[in-house]
Amino acid sequence: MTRVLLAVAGLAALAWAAVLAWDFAATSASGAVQAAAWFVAGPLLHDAIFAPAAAAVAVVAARRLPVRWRAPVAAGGVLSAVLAILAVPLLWRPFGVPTNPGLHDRDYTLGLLIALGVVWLGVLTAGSLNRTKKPHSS
Amino acid sequence: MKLPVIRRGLTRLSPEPPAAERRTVLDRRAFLRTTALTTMAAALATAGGTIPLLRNLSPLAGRSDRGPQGLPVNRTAAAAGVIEAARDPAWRLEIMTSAGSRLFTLAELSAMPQTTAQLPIACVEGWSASATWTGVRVADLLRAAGSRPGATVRVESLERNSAYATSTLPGEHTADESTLLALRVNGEVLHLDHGYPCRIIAPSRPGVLQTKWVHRIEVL
Repeated sequence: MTRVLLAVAGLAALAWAAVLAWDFAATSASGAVQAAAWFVAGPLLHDAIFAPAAAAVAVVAARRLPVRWRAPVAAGGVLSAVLAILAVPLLWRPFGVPTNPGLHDRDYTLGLLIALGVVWLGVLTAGSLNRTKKPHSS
Repeated sequence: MKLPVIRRGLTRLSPEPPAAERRTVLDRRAFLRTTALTTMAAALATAGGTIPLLRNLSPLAGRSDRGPQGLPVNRTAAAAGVIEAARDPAWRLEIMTSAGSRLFTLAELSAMPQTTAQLPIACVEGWSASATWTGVRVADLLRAAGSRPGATVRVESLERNSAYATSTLPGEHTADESTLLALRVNGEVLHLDHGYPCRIIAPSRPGVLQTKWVHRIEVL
C-alpha cells in the first residue's frame, strides 16, 4: 500500500513537471532552446562524462577501501557530488552581472567547504562506528 | 545532525541481506536512505533562500536579509541608471486617461489615503520575500484621475532600455484592494533600489512585473 501511494505521488509529480516543462518550452524560442539544453544536453553530459567518471572513482574506491568503509564513503561521495553541483552556479558566474544587494552575497566557497566538512566528518564517524559493530554482526 | 540518519542507514546494512546481496555496497534500503539523506541535505543547503528560519544555516542559499530594508534587490537604481531622475524634485507621477492626463507630486501622493498590505516579491529566479508595503491603492489613484478601478493600465518606469521598464497591469489587478502604488516598505520610505519614489506592488504577480521607479500610468 505504501509503495502504491509513493508511486502514485511520484507519477503525479512527474506528470505535473512535464506539463510545466512543456508550458515553458512551448511559449518562446528562447524557452525552447533552454529546455533543450536542460533535457537533452543535461542527460548527454551525465551519460558521457559524469557517469563514467563516477563509475571509475567507484571501481578504484571499491578495490582500495576496506569493506566497512565502502558504504559510508559511497554515501559521502553522493552527498559531496550533489552539494558541489548545487554550488556550481553560485561559484561560477561568467556573465559578470552587477552585484545585487541581498542576492548571492555570501561566501559560497567557504559554505561549500563547511558542508563538505560536515559530510566527511559524518563518513568518518559512520565508518568508525561500523568497525566497532563488525565483530558483533559477522 | 545528519549522523543519526547515516548511522541508522549503515548499521542495519550487514545483518539483513542474503549471501548473494552481501557483496553490494548499499542494499536497497540503504540506497533509498542515502537518496533520502542526500535530498534532505540538498534541500537544507539551499532552502535558506525561501525559508527565513534557515537563512543563516543554508550554505548555498541564493539570497539573504542583507539587502536594503531587509529585501533583496534584483536590479539596483544604479544598474537601471535612474538615480538622478528618481531623486529629481521635479518628478511627477503622470496618469493618462482618455480624458487627458493628471500630474501628482510625491507630496500629493503621500497626502492621499494610505493602505498597508503584506505582499511578497516573488522573483522568477527562485526567491521570494514578503514585506509590508504602504502606499496609495491603484484603484483610488484611478478614481482620482477620472478613470475607474478595473481598467487595464500600462505602468512605465523611469528606467529605459530594459525589457521590464514597462508592465501592463490587467483590470483584475487594478480593481484589487491590495494592489498598491507603494511609497513605503516595512515602515520606511522606499529605498532607491526598491523603486523610490514609488513602485507597483500587486498580489500574485512575478517580481519583474512589480515595476519600480514609476513615472507614468496610462489607462489603456
